[in-house]
Amino acid sequence: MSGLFSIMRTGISSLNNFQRGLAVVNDNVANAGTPGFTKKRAVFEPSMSIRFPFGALGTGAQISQIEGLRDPFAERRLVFETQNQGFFKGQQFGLQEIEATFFFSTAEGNLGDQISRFFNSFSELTSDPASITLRENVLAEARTLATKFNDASRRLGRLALDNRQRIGDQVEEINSLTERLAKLNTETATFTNQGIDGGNIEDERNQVLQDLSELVDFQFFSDEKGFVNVITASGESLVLGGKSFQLDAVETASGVDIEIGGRNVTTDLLQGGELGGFLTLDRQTIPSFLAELDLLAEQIAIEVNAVHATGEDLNNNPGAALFAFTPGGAAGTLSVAISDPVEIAAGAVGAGPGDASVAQQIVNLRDQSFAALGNDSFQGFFSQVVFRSGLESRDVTDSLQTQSTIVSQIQQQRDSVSGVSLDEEAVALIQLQRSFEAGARVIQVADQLLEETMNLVR
Amino acid sequence: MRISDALLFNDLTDNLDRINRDLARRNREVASGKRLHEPSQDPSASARVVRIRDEVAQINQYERNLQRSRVLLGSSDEALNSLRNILDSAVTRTSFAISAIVDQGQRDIIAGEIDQIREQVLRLANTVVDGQFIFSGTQTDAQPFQVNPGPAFVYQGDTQRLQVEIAKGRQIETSVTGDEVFAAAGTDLLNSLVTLAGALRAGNLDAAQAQITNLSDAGRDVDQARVVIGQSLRSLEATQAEHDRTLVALTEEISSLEDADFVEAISSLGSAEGRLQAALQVAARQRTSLFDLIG
Repeated sequence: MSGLFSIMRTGISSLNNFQRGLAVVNDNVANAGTPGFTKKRAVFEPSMSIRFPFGALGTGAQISQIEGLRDPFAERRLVFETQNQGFFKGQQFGLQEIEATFFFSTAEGNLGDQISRFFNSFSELTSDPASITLRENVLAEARTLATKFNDASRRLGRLALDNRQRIGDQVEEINSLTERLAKLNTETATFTNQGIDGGNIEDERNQVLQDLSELVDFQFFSDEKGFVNVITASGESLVLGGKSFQLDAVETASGVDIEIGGRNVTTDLLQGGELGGFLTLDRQTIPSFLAELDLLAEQIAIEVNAVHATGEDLNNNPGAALFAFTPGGAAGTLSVAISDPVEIAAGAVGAGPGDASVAQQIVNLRDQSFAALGNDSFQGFFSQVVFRSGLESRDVTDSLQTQSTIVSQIQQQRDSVSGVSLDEEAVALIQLQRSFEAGARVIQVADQLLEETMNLVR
Repeated sequence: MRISDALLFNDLTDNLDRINRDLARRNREVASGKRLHEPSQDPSASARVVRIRDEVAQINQYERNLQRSRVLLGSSDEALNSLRNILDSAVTRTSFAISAIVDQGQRDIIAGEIDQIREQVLRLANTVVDGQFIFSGTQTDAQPFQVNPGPAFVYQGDTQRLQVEIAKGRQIETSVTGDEVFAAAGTDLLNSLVTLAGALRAGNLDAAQAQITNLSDAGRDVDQARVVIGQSLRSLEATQAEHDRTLVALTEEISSLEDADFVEAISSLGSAEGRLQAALQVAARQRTSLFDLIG
């Protein structure tokens, strides 16, 4: 059958093939910068051959499939490592805010500095206990101390609120991603069902999975229908085939709970993803620092009030409570209960206005250790809080850095397989161009032969 | 390993990111002069800084207490010094007055001098510093001796010396009480002077003679009080020197913990800038692909 016309038909099929090949190159080049895109390759194979008595004769080439160069192993690892990375990223902003709450290096506005100043004001008072100016100074420093505690408490409270806002936003974003994933599942399944590469839709689905892994902790598996199913650690479905399940953020007294269809899945989500980081801040980190702040404020108030009560003020009345607070929220509610400087009880009962023994006992409190503070002094306890805030923040920052390196290494591994290389595409382009030219040339030759054959019969 | 464009770009982005972070940190270090901005940069150093800052604040306060104590002690010392001189002259004048060569007219004049001396002593006993009586113990608002006391001078203060903490656990006494100086047991100075003047006017030389003993005793009391004040002053100076040394050490430590090492910071800044330049040049050069050459 190898007539001249069939040669031309073979030539045309090859031209068509090369055009498709060109389209693949074009797609690759266009998507060189698209995240999650995998390089596609047109796989050519010889088309069927015709049997002749002298042997089989080929009829050209055809594209057997367009293949995405995927590295499923790297993509799977990328999802899990990105979850870890997200977990640290989610915690980082909160911990940075917390450490800034407790510590300023340059400004003299640190809570610890104010504790020093407060006790200093009493020490100064001992040098001239009847002085109204020095008494005013004690009240002013006490008020500033209360304000510093209030501010720190408010700052942590605001952080908790912001964080809850973020949890809400995050949940919405997760819901929109799982919804998209379910939709893409349906679309991809029509390909993968038939054993065909899902192409760019599959890339998109993988990218959504990747985006999801930044936000939340989950596991995923592909089923025989070609669906990617997403479940939480305890097996609650987030995406099942073409269906997605919404997360709800529910505020409770102890923090925000995450529910799926009324079932609490919070503990499933604490270990990974930014949401995991936010939830950890919400339930553990922020409450623990707030509790320490409250403890310190309460201890200072109780101890100072107790000593103050043993003294006598300038009107010969027993010392009234210097600080007022609400138990359980001392840092936020700490205030100074005395407004008249005369009411500061600096001296012992019965002693003259020049006696500063009670003021001195209050000063001495600064060096005492208290069981409630883990056998530490006020300032020692505060420095421990600063230490812990710094340590936790540094741990998270270090882990984030390590994790980011791991993620980018796997990303490199994936890119090394799936990424588009423009040079490769250029080579492929040249190759296709030359093949096209050669194919066209064959058709041209066949045409000339045909013409000459026609001339024979004239 | 196959090198794809995404790999190159991601790598480049990572590197630029890292260099820029480093650069930002170094910039802040050089601009602020501080190495330590957040506790996370060095948690234990931060905790130490908190404690040292408290120590520094305490010592600064102790130094302020020292300053004020010095003023109080200085005033007491001055008053006691004057008192001592006055007592000496009272003894001298009295000794002169009871000698045989002095007649009653002269004694009356000396009695007048003794009255003046009593007023001086009263003024000294009622010395006020910053609106407070320094010789009335802790009753700093009570005038130690009334100007017109009626039958006799009675000490109005208490027997408790004023105390101020000038170093951790170290208290000094910043006053002596009027009781110790002017009204020590049996030798009430002001009343003695009243009696003395009366005895001189009455020509009762034996009674006047007896008061000389009282005046000498009072002089001894003053000397003892001056010893107390002197000890406090010496302790104060020693403590001040101690504080100054500690402050230098603490300031040095705090600086070593939180201040930037400028030489290191600036050379690191330079190196980071160099790396950034290099990375940017590589980035600019990287994107020649085969596509640029065919066509």
